[in-house]
Amino acid sequence: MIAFSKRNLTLFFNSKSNLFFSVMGALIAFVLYLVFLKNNLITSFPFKLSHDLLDAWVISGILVVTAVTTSLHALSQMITDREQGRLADFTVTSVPFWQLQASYLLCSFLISVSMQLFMGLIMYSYFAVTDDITIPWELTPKIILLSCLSSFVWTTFNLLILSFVKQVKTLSQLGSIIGTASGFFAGVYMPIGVLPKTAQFITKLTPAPYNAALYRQFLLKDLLKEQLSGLSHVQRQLFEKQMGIHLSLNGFLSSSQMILLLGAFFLGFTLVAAVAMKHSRRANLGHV
Amino acid sequence: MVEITIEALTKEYTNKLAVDHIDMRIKKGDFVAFLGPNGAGKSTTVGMLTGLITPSSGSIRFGKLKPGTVAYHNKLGVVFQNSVLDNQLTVQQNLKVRAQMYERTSQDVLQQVITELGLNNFLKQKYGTLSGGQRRRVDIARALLHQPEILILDEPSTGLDIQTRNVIWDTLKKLQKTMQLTIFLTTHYLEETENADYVYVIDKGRIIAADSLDRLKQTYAQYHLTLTPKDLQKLRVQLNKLGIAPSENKGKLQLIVSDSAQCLTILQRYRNLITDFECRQSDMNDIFVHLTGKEMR
Ligand SMILES: Nc1ncnc2c1ncn2[C@@H]1O[C@H](COP(=O)(O)OP(=O)(O)O)[C@@H](O)[C@H]1O
Ligand SMILES: [Mg+2]
Repeated sequence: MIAFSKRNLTLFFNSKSNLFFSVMGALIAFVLYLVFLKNNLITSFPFKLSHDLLDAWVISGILVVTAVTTSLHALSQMITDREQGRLADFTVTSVPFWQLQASYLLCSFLISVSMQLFMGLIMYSYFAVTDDITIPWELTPKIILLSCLSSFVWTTFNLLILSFVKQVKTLSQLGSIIGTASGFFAGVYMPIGVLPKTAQFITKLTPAPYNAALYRQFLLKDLLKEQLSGLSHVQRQLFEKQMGIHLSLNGFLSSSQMILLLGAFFLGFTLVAAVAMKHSRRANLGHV
Repeated sequence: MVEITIEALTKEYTNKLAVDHIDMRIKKGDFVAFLGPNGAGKSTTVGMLTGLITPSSGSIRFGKLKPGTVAYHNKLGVVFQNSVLDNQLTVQQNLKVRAQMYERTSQDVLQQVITELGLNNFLKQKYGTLSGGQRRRVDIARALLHQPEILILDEPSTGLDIQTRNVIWDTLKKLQKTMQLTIFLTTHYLEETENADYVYVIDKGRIIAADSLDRLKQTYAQYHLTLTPKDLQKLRVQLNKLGIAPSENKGKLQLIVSDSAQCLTILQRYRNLITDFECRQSDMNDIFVHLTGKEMR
């Protein structure tokens, strides 16, 4: 299983196009922010917003997009291997079938975590140069833990999605749909507060806004304290709601409530995916 | 010494009987050819033998081992119809990964297999950049990494040019001896059965002949006699009297007779009416036509 996992990781990290396409959604969001969203946000609030606050805000959302798309890309290997007969070839080895499946999940998890950390580092470094912000190294352990939680949730989410995919040619279309959708759902292309009520409700049916809100709460905590101390409580709440830093679902959700919620999504996805995969998985490996 | 016994093996897809109650006994150390046209059920049979396709009914017995279990996989090497290694990895990387996925494997065996199949010149090359023949050799090497007792190959020579096919066949014959392998190979090239110890012919999911090639030839032996007559009409009338209806082709008469004695009789009796003749024993193609009433391709 170790050799097989190494192989899966090598295939992902060795392919430049794979790497690029797996973070394309994140890159688009990043560019969009630089050329347009940032100025837009600065002018749309009655009080002054600093660069470092907005930069950390967009990084949070983009990390969620990264978690979604990289785990999808990594897990797609499973579909490709199946359709091209490789999975059959791996099945006739001494490694039991369940370990092969577990390895795909493990690799997807590892890839998603490392890509989140990598993207975070890249974006922070970029802003450190251009906007002169300080990189919050002290948050590293928290970010690692949260990236693990995101990867758990999104790996199982993508497993569920992919259990309906039978053909390799569907994968690239699916990749672009999920990539774009995750940008909206995490509130990166535009803050969640800008969306109409129904759209807001729909996003809240997915883990994306909670995941993004958690990142924002972690990354923005001190900045908010420093910079928005002059605002009234109501003003500040409105701002945080508008920007998807805090979410309300029958009242404001605390961080731990959102962590629990993400845990519930994880369990839900796992259960449904397990059921959906039960019939189809081992069947018909032989025809290559 | 029977190694694998297959009884009444059947695979039915939704309203399609792909394999229909086939029986086989594969002897240890034999080189068995499984001959059949496209769609005959070869890959489905291979799928069941490798444990990747669950049979609808029937049994496969290989000692106490059940298809699809790890213990079974450890004794079995498979070369799939399509190339299934990773294009982006080098030959060496590919082989290493697969080798590590087996319980019984060693650096020595890896080396031996690489040498045996002549892969040294392109070990560092990416699998995706290899020629068809090179790729097939790597595929075979991959199937031997864990020193299996049985090697199963699904149309290993399809799509390769004739030289490469010969190389593959020579290699397999050599491996059969050096590694004491039992080889089970599917093909739709009739001439390839000439190298096998035993032949099964499958058509529409059923085995329609099973024997060694010599015996098949004996059983279905026929002589194809082509006569160049001095006077075509006269010879035809004479042959008709014997109850033989020859066919005509470019001024020559062609007939099928059952044995060489009859061949000689005809030649002797009508030697005055004949300027030239040609006599050919049935090959696998004729046997196949005889069995199925249709051409192979
Ligand atoms: N998954 C499947 N579902 C339905 N029919 C199938 C499936 N796989 C193969 N078949 C049919 O079973 C028959 C035998 O196929 P196959 O074993 O691949 O033949 P061969 O390998 O001899 O060319 C064919 O008619 C094929 O169309
Ligand atoms: Mg086939």
